[in-house]
Amino acid sequence: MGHVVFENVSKRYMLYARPIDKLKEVLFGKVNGKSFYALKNVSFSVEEGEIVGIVGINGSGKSTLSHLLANVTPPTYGRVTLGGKSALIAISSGLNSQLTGRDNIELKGLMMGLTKRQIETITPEILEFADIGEFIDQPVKTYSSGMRARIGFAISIHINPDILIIDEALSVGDQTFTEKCLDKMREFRDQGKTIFFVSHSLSQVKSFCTKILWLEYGEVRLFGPTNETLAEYNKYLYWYKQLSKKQASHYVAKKRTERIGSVDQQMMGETIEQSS
Amino acid sequence: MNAIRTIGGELKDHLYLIFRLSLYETKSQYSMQYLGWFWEIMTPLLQIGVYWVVFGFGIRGGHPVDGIPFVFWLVSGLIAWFFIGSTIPSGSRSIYGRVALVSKMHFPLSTIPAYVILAQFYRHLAMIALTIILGCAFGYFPGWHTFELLYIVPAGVVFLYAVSLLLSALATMIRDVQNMVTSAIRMLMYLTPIMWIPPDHSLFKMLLMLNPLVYLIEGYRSALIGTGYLLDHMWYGVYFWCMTLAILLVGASIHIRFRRYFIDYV
Repeated sequence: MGHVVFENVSKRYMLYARPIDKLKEVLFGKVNGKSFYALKNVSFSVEEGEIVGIVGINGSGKSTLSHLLANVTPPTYGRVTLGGKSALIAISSGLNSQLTGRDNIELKGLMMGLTKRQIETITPEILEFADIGEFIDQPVKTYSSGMRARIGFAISIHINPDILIIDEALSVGDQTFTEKCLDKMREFRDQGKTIFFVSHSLSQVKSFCTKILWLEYGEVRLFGPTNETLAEYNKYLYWYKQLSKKQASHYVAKKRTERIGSVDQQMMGETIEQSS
Repeated sequence: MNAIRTIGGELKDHLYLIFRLSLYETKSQYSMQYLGWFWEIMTPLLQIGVYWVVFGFGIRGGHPVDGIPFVFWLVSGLIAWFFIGSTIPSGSRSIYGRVALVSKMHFPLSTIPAYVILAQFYRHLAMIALTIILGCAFGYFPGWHTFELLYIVPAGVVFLYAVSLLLSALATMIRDVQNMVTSAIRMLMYLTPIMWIPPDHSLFKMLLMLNPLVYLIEGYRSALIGTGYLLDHMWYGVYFWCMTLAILLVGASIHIRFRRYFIDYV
């Protein structure tokens, strides 16, 4: 349980010159437009119990990768194998702002396929972990962003996923809550669950992750143990910063054109979710 | 056919989920307002009042319809329309508005139109009960014909689910469909004989009956007033179910084929 394998995974988005081209594609299945590869031929494999940090500059495909991991969206080509149930935690992870925190716990639990009894068992644990007191019976729209992140995080980890994807969610919590979350995640790791951690905070990534996946313009630049990969990434960041404006924009433009165009037509994309 | 079976299975497996989510749907709709349930009843009442004045007194001069008091005749058809007219637009909007929230493949998207319809259904039941009370006030007491409700209400729900399944898939991929639905509903309200009585012209009547909503509206009248319409129009019933099945077939296959990609269209 908990392992993740990506085999030649690409995710294509279409850039349409005119909106009518999109309509034609829906109606007649005729692809007409430039393709943009948010991810291109990504392959890697992660054992259970690993904590993988995903790093890369803006627009490198981190969010697309986390959506593929969470099975939110299917790959265009290639195969994603997930060794269990996965859960994505983003900053405002799908809370209904009109409903109270308590209602949201049940709602989210139902949507994740829990039974009534399971929801009843985890509710007190969630309340304790989120620690938002009286506010639990108030509509979520009255919450501060920190409270929202806390309740979202608490719900997501208590539905007991095998694979947990954390997309920048810890950046809004305060120090004590971040510590609490990190502790919880260490506990998860010891239970053999896999955690993906998308963050721009390199110090957090460094202290916490066992491996780093470095994405650059939709491709895997490096995948390996934390220290070596981060050292390379830092070198890259340093190199990128010292580029003159002209050189930098030239570099970005070159990389961008590489993402437009096509990869060889391969098997249609699929996501396989193995039940644990 | 397989697509219909898949969707039927999904609905059956998630009955509790559909039920709970429909309650939350109504809850979040009215959490902002102090008098939520009051408006559920008040808005239709005001509408009925306006149509009664305009069509009953203004156009018909207060004459009854085949001996049935106009207001009772109007209300028994209009409550069906309130259900249809509010369910189809919200049903077709249902997946687009929620797919980002539930974008987990564990979640069966086919249940979304179902719970959105169910959320409207509670109010509809209350209105049926009120109409029966109104009928009693006019001396139309429930009788054998009332049992027709057990047929026509589920028929309406199945029809609305089929339409919502189809439109929600289309509206997710092509946003213009939503605008089309809104104006179509506005036109259908007057193209369906809810507030007026079709003249005795057989070709015109036939053309009118191509619209399956006529069957539902007249079916409600048959059950609530006892006009006997349902038993007199067996073949029209067959036509209605063929239409429903066709819409369900197309809707289910489009839904199944594209649902994996709905999130990419949002």
